[in-house]
Amino acid sequence: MRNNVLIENYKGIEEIREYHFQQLQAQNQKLDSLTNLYAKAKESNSKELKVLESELISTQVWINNNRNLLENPLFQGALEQINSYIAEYSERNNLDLVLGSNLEGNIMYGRKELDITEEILEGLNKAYDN
Amino acid sequence: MKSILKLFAFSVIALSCTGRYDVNDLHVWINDEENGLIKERIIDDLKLTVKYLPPEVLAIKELDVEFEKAAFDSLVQVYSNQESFLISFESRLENKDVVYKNVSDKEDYNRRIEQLSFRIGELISLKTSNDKISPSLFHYERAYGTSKVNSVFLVFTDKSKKLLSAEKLDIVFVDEIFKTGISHFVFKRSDIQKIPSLNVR
Repeated sequence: MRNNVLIENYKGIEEIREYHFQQLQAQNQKLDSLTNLYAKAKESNSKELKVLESELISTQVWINNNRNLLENPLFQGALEQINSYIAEYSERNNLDLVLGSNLEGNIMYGRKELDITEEILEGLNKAYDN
Repeated sequence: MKSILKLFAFSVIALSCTGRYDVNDLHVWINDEENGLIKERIIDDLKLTVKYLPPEVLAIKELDVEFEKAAFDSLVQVYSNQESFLISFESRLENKDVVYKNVSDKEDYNRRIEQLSFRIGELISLKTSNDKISPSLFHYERAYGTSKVNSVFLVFTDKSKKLLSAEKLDIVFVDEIFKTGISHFVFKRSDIQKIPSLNVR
């Protein structure tokens, strides 16, 4: 099984990628508007300066902590979805072992007939659509 | 206990009639996966279940042991203006309240309770071919350690009422609580239309 093909084409990951992007975009927009408000408040020496400053910092921290998709708990959850499906597929088909190839070269070659990637991917996406 | 008595009393009344379903039969029907009103996903050790709740079931739950048919009909009419679901979470391997699953400390626990009680409305939506709707009402039924299962009651409404005729109702759960990714639970209108009528006199 080719792990990278599964990860790249699983709908559950595609949707999380989109969700993650939208969240980041929304937070970046928030950061821009907070930066503008902060600059104005600083000019006028407004009482809201401290509140804005703390909001600005927390938004910046959120963006820094959530920038990387691979560290998003939802992404980890989607990987769990893949693993759970493979476990269920293996039980259903009486498989004792499923090997996954990745770019690190732990499996260098396998005959095409042994590759179940497409079958797993099809079932996985079907299960995702429910 | 009170609700069990209610169910029992109602069943006795309903069983005296024939041809239509009593409330217990209706629950059996809904809980039969083949009828398409209960959807389940298992991710790692967590079982996520979403169940469609027809207006009749909600009306019975609200009524007393003895009730007038008119009262029942009137409640059914009220609940017919919404789509209601129950989403449940359960650990398959651990025999304890799922709310403690992978909780590291008190702060973590409090965050989870807060998410289930107040934030879940932001994490769940109902998608149809035209719209994406947030729940207009949600209620977390806390188990306080007495049950493995935790549930959230969900109600969706829309002003245009297009929702009530949508062919597909897709419940989308962005699981930032138990961290199982995004899950879809799709219900078909054709399955909802097949729900048997309740025998009420």
